[in-house]
Amino acid sequence: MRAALWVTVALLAALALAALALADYAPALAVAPLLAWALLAALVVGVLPPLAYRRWRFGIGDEEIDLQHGRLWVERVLIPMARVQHVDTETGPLSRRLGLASVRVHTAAGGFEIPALDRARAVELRIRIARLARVGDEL
Amino acid sequence: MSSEASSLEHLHPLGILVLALERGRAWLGAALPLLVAAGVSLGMLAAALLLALAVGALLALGVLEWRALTFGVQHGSLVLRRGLLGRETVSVPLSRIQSVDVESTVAARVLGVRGVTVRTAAGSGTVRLAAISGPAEARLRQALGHRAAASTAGEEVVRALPASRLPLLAVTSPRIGAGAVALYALFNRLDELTPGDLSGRLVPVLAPRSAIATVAEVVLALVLVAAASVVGATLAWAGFRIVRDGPRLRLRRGLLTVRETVVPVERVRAVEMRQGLVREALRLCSLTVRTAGSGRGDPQSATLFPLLSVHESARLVRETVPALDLEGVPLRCPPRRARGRAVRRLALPAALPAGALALLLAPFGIVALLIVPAAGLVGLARWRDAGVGLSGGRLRWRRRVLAPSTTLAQARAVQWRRVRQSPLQRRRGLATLEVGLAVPPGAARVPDLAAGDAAALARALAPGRLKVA
Repeated sequence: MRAALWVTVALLAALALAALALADYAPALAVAPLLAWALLAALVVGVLPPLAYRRWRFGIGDEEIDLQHGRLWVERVLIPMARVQHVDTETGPLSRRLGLASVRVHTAAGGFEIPALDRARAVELRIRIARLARVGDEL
Repeated sequence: MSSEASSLEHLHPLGILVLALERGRAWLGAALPLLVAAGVSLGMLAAALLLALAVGALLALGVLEWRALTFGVQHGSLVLRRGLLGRETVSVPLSRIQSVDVESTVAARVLGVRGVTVRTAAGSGTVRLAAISGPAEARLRQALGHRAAASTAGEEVVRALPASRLPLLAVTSPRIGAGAVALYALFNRLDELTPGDLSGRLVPVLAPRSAIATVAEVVLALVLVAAASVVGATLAWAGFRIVRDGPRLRLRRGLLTVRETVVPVERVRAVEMRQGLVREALRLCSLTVRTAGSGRGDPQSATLFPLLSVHESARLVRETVPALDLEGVPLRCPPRRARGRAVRRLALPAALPAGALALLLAPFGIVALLIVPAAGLVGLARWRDAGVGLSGGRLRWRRRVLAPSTTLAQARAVQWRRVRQSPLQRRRGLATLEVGLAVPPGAARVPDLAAGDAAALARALAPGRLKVA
């Protein structure tokens, strides 16, 4: 996911540079990379997030946390409650303004995020997961 | 666990020097340019004065740190107090200790001190005692329930590395190829690195003049690297032995600096069998044990045996870590329909740079195109060797980067399971299975399993469904 983000940023930067480079020598041709830039930006900002949001599913069971997301690249993660080390909520300046927060579940082999939840719901989830996570697990 | 030390004690007074040296090493990167700049702009005398001041400051800090640092065993925990400005107390329950490393250099042995590092699953819980005396180490060992370091009588040596194997260990080391390349590169940059008259005399001797001379130089570089590797391997691995100490294994090695790692067998969560390309051809491997944790710098690993034949490895693991028998776990491997994807996954990315090289360095650059089939062959070998299996509470994961390796982990080290499917994988009924492990490397990944196999394994790895042998 992070790799896809970097590729997108690099692509946007390359298209902007191409437009700048062409502007001096062939202004008519510079429109093409600008158009591609605008289309890509619209796709990344306007189209993909709502699609990703619609495909995000999570379930908190007594035994496991089940996360599933993605339409083309489908990913499903199962985290046993017995393996949860700790759980926290995170909110940045923008998401705080929008009343959103993320829940992050940590295991001994890395963590997973449930992003963009309503803040009260995120707090409720954090408390619920913390209660269900067992402390008796020995590494 | 036997008697508890009632009070905390200081490190050996030589610890002041060790603490100052450790801090000096950490600051060297920042201090060296400053000293050089002072030497250039203010003169050598000023630089020497600055250096003397820095050494004095380091020693003074060493004294302060030594005074602030105390350790001991209290109420079933190893307690360490440290910190100059902010005081910190680290308390490690003895039952949570994953391994204990003891290191003694020649100088330390002469002076009667040694360094001890106690590790837990959390990297932040590591307790390092830079220099403690022999009696203090004996007291600590007694409190931890270990056999005294000096007593070798009656100890049960499970297996020792014969000295005659050291040259083979050195020349089959995966690092030797990189060393030869570095040395050959050094030969070719000799004129830039040595003073004019020296390089003037050496370059006619060393610079390649013909194809035969180049081959001779490569052979010479390999011989020199092999000789250096034999010396290095002898220093590091001479006297390697596995000693059983009750419920623990003591892994001892080293010629000048003697290192000993104590690993409680019940804390071992995984065993890894590794091969290099040369070792694969000779059917040799090394074994590493891993305990749980996620600390930095891979502190949860210890070499169980540095070189043995593949067919002996299963027996040695059965003798030392019986819960992690390497045999009896059948693998589910990527199906035949995944073969083309495995080849393309490496060959396609190699095609672009190979094509560019072929065009830029034409006509000889055409040789660069050989990279593409070579990459494809590596992809094919990866497909053939990939696999994952679960049986009797053990997870077996086989993979290849250039050479193959196999990890046998306790299924209870599994933290999470992830199944991924791209559109192209979906079309062919394939999926990638990832299993998060509480031991390095952190996750086992098997690309392009049959989608049904990946889902079934992900389900079978749920803690409630695991059947432990």
